[in-house]
Amino acid sequence: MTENQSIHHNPIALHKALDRIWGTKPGWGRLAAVNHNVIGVRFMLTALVFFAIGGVLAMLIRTQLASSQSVFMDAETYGQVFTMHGTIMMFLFAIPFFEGMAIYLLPKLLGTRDLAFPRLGAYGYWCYLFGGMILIGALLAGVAPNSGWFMYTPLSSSVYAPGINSDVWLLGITFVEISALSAAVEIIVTIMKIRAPGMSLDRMPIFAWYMLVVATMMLIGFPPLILGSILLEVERAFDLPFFDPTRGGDPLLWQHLFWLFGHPEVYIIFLPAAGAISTILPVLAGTPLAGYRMIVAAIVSMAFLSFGLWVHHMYTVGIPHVALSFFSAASALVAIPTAIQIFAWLATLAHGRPRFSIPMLHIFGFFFVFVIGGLTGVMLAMVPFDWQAHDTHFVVAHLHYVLVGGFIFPMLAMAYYWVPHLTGKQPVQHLSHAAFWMIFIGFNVTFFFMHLTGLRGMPRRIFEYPPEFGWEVLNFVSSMGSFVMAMGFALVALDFILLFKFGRAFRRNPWKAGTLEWAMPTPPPPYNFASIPRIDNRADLLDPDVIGPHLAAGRGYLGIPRDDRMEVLGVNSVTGEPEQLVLLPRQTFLPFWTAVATGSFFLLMLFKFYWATPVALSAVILCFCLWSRSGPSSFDDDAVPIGHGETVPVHIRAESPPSYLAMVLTLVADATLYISLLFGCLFLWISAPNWPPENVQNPNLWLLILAATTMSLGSLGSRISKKSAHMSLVGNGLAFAGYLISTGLFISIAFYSLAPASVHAATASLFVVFCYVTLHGVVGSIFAAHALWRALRDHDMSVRALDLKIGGLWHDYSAASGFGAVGFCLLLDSLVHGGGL
Amino acid sequence: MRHPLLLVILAFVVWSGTFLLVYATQATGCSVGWHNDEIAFWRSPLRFILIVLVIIGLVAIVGTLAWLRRRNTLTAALETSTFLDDVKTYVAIGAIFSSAFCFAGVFWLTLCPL
Repeated sequence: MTENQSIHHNPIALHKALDRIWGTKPGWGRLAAVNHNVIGVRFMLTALVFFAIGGVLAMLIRTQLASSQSVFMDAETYGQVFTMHGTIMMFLFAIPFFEGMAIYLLPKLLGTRDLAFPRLGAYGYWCYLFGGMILIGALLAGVAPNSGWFMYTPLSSSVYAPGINSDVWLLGITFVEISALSAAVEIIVTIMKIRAPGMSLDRMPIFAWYMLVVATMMLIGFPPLILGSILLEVERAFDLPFFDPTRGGDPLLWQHLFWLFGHPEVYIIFLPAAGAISTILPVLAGTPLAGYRMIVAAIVSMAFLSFGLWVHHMYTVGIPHVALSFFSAASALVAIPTAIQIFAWLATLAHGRPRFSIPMLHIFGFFFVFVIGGLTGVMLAMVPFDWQAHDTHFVVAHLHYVLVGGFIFPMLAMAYYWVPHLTGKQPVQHLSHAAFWMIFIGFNVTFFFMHLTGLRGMPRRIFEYPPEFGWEVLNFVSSMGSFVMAMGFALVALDFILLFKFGRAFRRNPWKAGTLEWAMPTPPPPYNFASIPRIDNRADLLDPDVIGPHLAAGRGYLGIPRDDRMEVLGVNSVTGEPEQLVLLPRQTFLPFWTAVATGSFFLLMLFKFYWATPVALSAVILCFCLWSRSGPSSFDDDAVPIGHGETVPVHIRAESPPSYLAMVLTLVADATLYISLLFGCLFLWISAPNWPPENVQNPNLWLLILAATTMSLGSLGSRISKKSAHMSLVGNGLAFAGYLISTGLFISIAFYSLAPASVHAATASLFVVFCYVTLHGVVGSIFAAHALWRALRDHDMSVRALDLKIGGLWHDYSAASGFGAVGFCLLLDSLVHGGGL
Repeated sequence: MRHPLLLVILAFVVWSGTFLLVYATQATGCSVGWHNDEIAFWRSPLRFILIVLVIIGLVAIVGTLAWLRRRNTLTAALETSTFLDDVKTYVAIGAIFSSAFCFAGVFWLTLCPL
């Protein structure tokens, strides 16, 4: 009997074969893990460690503020502690935790074996871990950021923060955000392309809809923050005056860029939690989710509205009434899609017979706390009230009601609901009730009274206050509440330790859920499903008890492993019908080493070894080039049987492979950054003092047009190269030569044709725009060189076509960015020298 | 073929474009002094421009809804088409309401810093 025949008749043999292919190796092999179960759990555990550190910092803050006579911390230490508390909770805990949750859960809920780009997930994790370690290392060394978690300029500028504290934030957070962007691309592509056959858009589990919206928001929301961090870092490092009003900069530019990210961030944190509630609550209520379509429409609307209210954090900076009205109205409007979800959940509860288990208790906590946070949010959306409460502890109370209500309580509900899936054990629940009530009561005592402290005028971010102001009793009560809450969290930790040690085993699907994650053994094997299901109903109304044994016996798709390949199915993004067989890369150390190289670049920047940064950058590029290595034998099949008598092409020969969509999404994020840069520079012209600049020399227009034109040769060359194997050499050679010339020209314009970039924000803007285009030229030349190399090695043209298609997208975008730079230069010149409009 | 999900978000994409255009025009107009003159009915050129932009934006979003309702989503299954049609209609109605509510201030509120 052959191995395949043996597998066909024996689920145990099938399990062993798949486990050998998909499993992570022990020892050092763990560093090569790419499996989504491993990466997802690592993300969540690391985030919880950061949560514990952030929680300890919160206790230090409350200890300091408990009394007006406190000598616990001096101003500098307090500044570092409260900055790091906010930074850790926002960037190192909340976002990475739900990224981990999505990475762990999504493939299971979608009925597949892994995410679309396992190596990207692993790379994102290492970037997150190393970036977080830089921040925590700075805290231990006493040089942590101290300008508040939103790093307002000029407080964070080199004049007022001359040490490396602010650099730690700017570089560390940018490093961490690589993981957010990579997760966003990975999540979108997985939801769109890597689902179980038959899972059309209307059959997707509601959690997938939430994550699709959230990941898209991350793709648009994070680039402005990354841009702001880059601009502030180049101001601090190289004296380019984007935020210095004496040289045409404006501190408000930072606020716009930060809050363009910062406000959607609240919904980026809330929506995954809401998605989990929409998944858990119907199970506990024993009835399907009410208003599925209305909820999908509400979260799409919410995503857009959340981008239209960033200025509501800036009501007091001197904005005219009409502009305030836009943002105030949008801030109030966003309550409507939120309310639609809340009423849908209430309707679900009303229709069902709710089980008052521990997850439901935490959902009750969510309802109570989040609704109060939402109502105070509507209060703060009203300009006259915000003017009174701005920068007081009322805002601190509001944001904690929203974030703890909108994330922590749902997170605990999720934990109690899905930890049996992770561990294969059910909670013993001796401590769970007490832990919940301690957190719930402790939280409300801490933060409800903070509303009153704020209304009595206590500002945020002060480390001491006079006793005669009448804030002391309220602060003391808040501090006591915070310690009760901390004890509650300690009890939760203990509860989970007891669960891991003494939890009861269960057979399958302990909650009687209708989602696919319960149609697999628990804890889950690295391949999730021994074979992939076909879906004929909405993916949260299925019967895992029937589907599970069917799949374990290998009766679904891809039920027989072949050639040690890691195989999943790619589907049509709308209908869910199988379109391609996606071959995933095996376990590799490359993500780890690429993250190490990336981290060395950030560390060299941090310690101002700028001369060595090109070496690190080259190492990063080299590592990424190694990612593209693949043996042609992996792709030698035209059509591959996938089971049930169906055949599909391998992804590299498919019409719409996942990597093509990934490049489109990457360029969307890239374009968002570029548009933010151009708009930001024009904002300075409108808003900043000391404009127009004097004695500013503009670049040679014809040289600039020549540079942009030669850059567009990349696009032309890529089109030529697609025509035939012979033309491929010519086309890619043309593209490569075009990039070499254009990058040389843009560099010479940026460094020799412009006035020094430190003179004025106008020249700094042009300099950065030219550097941006140059960077695209360098990356484009790598794409062209790679395509040229493959053409010379005479790889099969049909295999190479995907590389050319992906490179073509980059070349087109680079050409557009080059001409965009010319247009921007002309516009700025006419505004500056032509006297405006 | 246009991806059906792009049609789902289309109305709010128009809303976002209108938002950026109106906000950018207001800021630019204030910077270059379009609010200082009166052209008719004691109104400044800036207010006229903003009102026109808001009306164009509103008409565009209503037009988007009308277009979306005429155009059925082309998918394999009727159930999927109905789902996508319902969702894009709800989203477009939300975008219309948001536009009317967000931009109403251009008719009477102070346009520029005093």
